Amino acid sequence: MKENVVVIGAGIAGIQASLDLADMGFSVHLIEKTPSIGGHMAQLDKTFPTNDCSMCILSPKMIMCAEHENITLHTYSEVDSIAGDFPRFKVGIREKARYIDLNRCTGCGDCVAKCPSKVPSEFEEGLSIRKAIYLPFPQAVPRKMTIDAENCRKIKDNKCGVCLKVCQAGAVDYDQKGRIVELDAAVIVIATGFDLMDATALPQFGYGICKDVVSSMQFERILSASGPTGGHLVRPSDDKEPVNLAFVQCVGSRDAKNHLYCSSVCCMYATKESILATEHAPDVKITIFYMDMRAVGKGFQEFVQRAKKSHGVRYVRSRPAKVQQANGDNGVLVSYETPGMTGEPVSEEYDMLILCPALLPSSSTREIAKMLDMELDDDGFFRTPDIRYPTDSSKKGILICGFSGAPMDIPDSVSQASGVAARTAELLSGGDR
Amino acid sequence: MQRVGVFVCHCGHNIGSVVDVEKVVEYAKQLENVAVADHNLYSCSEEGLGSIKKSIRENKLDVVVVAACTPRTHEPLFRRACEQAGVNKYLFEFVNIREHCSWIHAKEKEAATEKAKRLIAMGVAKASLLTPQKEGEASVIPVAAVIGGGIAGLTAAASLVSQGIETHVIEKEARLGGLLNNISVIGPEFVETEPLIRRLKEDLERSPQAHIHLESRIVELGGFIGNFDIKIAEGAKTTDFKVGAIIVATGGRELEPTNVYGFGKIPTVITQMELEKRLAGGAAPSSAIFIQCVECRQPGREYCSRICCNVTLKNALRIIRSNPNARVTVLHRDIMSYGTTAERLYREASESGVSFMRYGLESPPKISEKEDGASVEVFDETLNENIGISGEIVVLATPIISQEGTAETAKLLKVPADKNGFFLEAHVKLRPVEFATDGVFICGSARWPSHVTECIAQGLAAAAKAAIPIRGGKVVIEAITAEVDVERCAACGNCVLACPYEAIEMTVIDGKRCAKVNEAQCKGCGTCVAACPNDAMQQKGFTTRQLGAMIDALIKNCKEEAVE
Amino acid sequence: MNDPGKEISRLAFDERGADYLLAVREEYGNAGPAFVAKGEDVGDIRTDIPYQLVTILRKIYPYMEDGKIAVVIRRCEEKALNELIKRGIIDGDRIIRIGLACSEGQIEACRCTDPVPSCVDIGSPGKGWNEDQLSKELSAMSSEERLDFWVAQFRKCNKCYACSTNCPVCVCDHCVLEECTFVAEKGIPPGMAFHLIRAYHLSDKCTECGECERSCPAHIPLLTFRKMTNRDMKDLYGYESGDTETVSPLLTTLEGDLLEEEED
Repeated sequence: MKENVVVIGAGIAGIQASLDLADMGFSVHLIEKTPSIGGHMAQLDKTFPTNDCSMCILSPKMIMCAEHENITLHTYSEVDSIAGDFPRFKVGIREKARYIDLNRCTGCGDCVAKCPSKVPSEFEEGLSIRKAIYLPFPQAVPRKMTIDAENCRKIKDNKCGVCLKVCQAGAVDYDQKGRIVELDAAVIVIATGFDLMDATALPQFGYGICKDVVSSMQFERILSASGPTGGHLVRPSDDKEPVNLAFVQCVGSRDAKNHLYCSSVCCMYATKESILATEHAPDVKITIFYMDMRAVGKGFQEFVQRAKKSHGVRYVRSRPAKVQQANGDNGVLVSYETPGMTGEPVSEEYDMLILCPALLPSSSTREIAKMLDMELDDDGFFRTPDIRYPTDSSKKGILICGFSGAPMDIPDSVSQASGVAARTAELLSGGDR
Repeated sequence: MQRVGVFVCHCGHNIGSVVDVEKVVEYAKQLENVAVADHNLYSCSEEGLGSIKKSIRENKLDVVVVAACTPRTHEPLFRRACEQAGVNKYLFEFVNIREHCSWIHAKEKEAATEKAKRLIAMGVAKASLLTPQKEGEASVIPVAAVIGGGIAGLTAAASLVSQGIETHVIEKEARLGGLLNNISVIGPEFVETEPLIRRLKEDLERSPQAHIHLESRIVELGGFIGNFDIKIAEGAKTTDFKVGAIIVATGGRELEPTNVYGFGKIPTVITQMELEKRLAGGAAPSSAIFIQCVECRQPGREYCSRICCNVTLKNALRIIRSNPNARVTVLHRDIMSYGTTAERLYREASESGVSFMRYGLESPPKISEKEDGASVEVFDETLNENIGISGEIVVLATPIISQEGTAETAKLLKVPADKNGFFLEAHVKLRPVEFATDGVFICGSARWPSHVTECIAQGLAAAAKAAIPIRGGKVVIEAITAEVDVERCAACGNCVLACPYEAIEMTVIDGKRCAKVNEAQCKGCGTCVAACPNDAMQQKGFTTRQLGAMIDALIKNCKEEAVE
Repeated sequence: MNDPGKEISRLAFDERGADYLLAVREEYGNAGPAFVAKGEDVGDIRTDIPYQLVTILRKIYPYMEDGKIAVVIRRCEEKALNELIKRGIIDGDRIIRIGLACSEGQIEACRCTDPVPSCVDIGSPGKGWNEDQLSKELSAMSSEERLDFWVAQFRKCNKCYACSTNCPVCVCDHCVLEECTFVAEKGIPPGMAFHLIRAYHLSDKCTECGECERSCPAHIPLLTFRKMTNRDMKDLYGYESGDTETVSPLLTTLEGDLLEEEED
């Protein structure tokens, strides 16, 4: 009898943990609250320091998850309840109604073309539209549609109904109900990842006030060939190509008034986005306002040097004090002090500003912790009390990996995810060390 | 003569709205060797697969061509369908008319239809020449070997043993523990190392599944995943054993500073490890100056050693905690206290009175000896002036560099190392603890300088990866491997050199010298095929003849079109 | 050294455990390669005559199923040996090297830039030559003039195959130059294809030993040709032949630094 392991969260950490656990012979139930697995890594254009195309390296793993005989995907689902103790947890999975028969839907997209409801796309960070019936991104796994009940005219107001008419596979079912699936699980893995801090909480940086201030994830979507601008580097206010861009690091991180901790990956991804921007538009000039340039991994320092020497990126060690409108709606004015105590206050105009906000433990992290009655640490991450087991939470049989435990990059998340598989095998082999 | 079946997929409107599928099917019907051509709305659906299988049986098809989306999504699905219908799964050819055609030529329907015809003509030409292949299987010896008994290796071994897997630990020193034997406390949580190492050792010592070999090193290593032969020299004797998986955990070492900052001349200038020894012994200096980034993050050694800032923060706080009046200064070029607990440690150090001064690579601190210590002059970039400080000791934070003997280990294991001597993993992002060579894994500072918690996580990860084939009991050997045509081989050795997996050797077959591919190690990458000057090396499933036939079919189709 | 043979014999058989020794020996007024088994009299060994022993080693090797072979090896030979080891043609563990440093006269004759083997047992290390005179002249020419020069030179070729027979790294059992695919079966000169194929196939292996030039009865300046080709390999790919690790850039994918423009 294969033992069940429930993995909560299907970003890269959850996906890797599921694959390793499944390869070891455990029966994995991978729960993801959005319609597709993939997490934030699916939104990235490229990954540092190799600048591999993110989706190209991620999608084979996503497909392996879908095809693995030992993995059951529960997408568009959330954890309803967790009871019991190791090795007999009882997990209730709330599979939300998608109003689509997954056995019939082939993801062809005929319905999307006809749907009249437009909603800001979560995947595109609000920069473009999706429909009420939608596939979050082209490489979504499972490649099945979802109807977002909140925005569907049929489900809310009993109007429209076009998708049902258009669907040749007969997959639309407006009467579908969500359901709760109850499972016994021997081990639970928490891989709930991160959310970007909403930078409107820090109005001095102009997010939500100045049109040409975007978040780093929004910039990632702009750079992406499958994104809202087709990879064309343009600024939101007037769709013109920006020439002078700047990044502001540590927006809300390393900040006594917001979050004390360092989000670990922003120095590197800002460098990456700068390099990509200059590859898209060789004439751009980029400035990165930073505190410490944390390039600690393999090939990271060389990556930063490459940005400086081959791509002309200017690194200025200063925290901007204020960002305001420059010319009406277009561009921004950044005020900062030049580095050092004898620095001078300076204001510089930029066509576009990218903020690197703090990466927070996701809302799901908080919800799961509450459900399990577990304390999070002062920064909101799961505690791992025993140094011998960096993936064990304070409750036996509940393992954590990736950003749910601490800010970390993709390779560290993947290592932790595999580590979770080892610990599961240890716990369930009866070997107690 | 192979009977080829062609199945063109509409993929809903993805292909169907751009390519005229019916026209393409008619075209396919008249291609040479095509016995039947049909189309499906969604080939990957239950219905589509069912109709393909039915057609295979009814039309007694030998080979199947599906023209649809990308093989990355559904190739395994269609191969399974072929097998279920009685056709060898390698007698299947996938033609991509979605990503390669309808999706990129969405606005040129006529041209896209013509292109789809061409792609299918090429696919049929190749399919006509396909031969059945068989995947091999090798059993896996249910034993693992861990090379290196430091924190990463001990964790990997303890995890494997706890999972019930027999494990050999091969350690070159006389005791386990690695670098942590000389470090008593680790940050950022100020955990004592002795109980940590002791418990891991005890986990191993009390298990009958663990074999610890001290003062040992590997002298010979052969084989491939599932079947490695290892010979070690253990003191005076040699021991042989077979394992199914190997984990490299050979660690790193502290760079001994060369002639910088007065090291070797001024006795109060010491290394971080020397400081660890003194602090463990109860030393409580009244003042200390730490210099970070010594001989790294500069031309000649560009990398950042990741851990030194946090080690300095820990030791700075240890000094202050043992002597609250101590004056501690840290001269740095960035403080790399990434994450949660480390960043808090930085704050705590700063609030406890540790001074942080930023210096630039172009103007390094200058040291001179003093009667009771040393004095340091540094150009502080923040204050923009020269500052003089004195300290009882000056601690040089040098990087972790690759372990001695890495080149030999790399050669023995047939794994690569990067230009800094750290082992090179299979993929820097998504396969951090695996080597490209199957069955060999890496963890800890042998891969990259890592904190203790990171070494432990990686040790667990490597243990999981090693456990997978061992638990599975067998490994599948890739069917699409390279193959030598002995007749044509000129024994030039290009393939031996080109193979990234060292899967080819020069041998003698029936008195003739030629290359030979070890199929278990071959990953089917095709590099040797490209390197062979005589066309003697062929890739199964992608032979020169098959690829040539595709080109011929394309040219024929283009000529036909020109005539039209 | 008066009697290098004695020292070489001692190093090979007594100190380094060889079963056989390959060296150049003078007999009856002629010098040539000699293959000596342990216990036999080594004879009058000469170390001042350039002779490509690795070529001989490679030809004998398939017949020597076991035993360790010591070779008196100059730097160019050492590098050629490494290229053969890399390609699995010779098992490096079976070869014992006895390093021979070339004399000044020899270095000059070869215009050798890299004359000192990694371990010098016989002779004293000399300084390398910077560039060969003919290379300098050719580099100063335009590419048309240079092409004319070589076409004229190769017209002298009478397809004797001495260059490829004596070359230590020219290893293929079936050589494409001996078939009629690219080289006409009958008639001389054999055409530029012969020389260009040879140049290309050797570009990642050649160690500039000069044996080709010495052997050519038509006195074609083949060593200069090789030096210029090797310089191009260095400039384009940063590649120099002769170690046991580096994979030829012609057989692998370039990445990272090699693909990017050089800075500064």
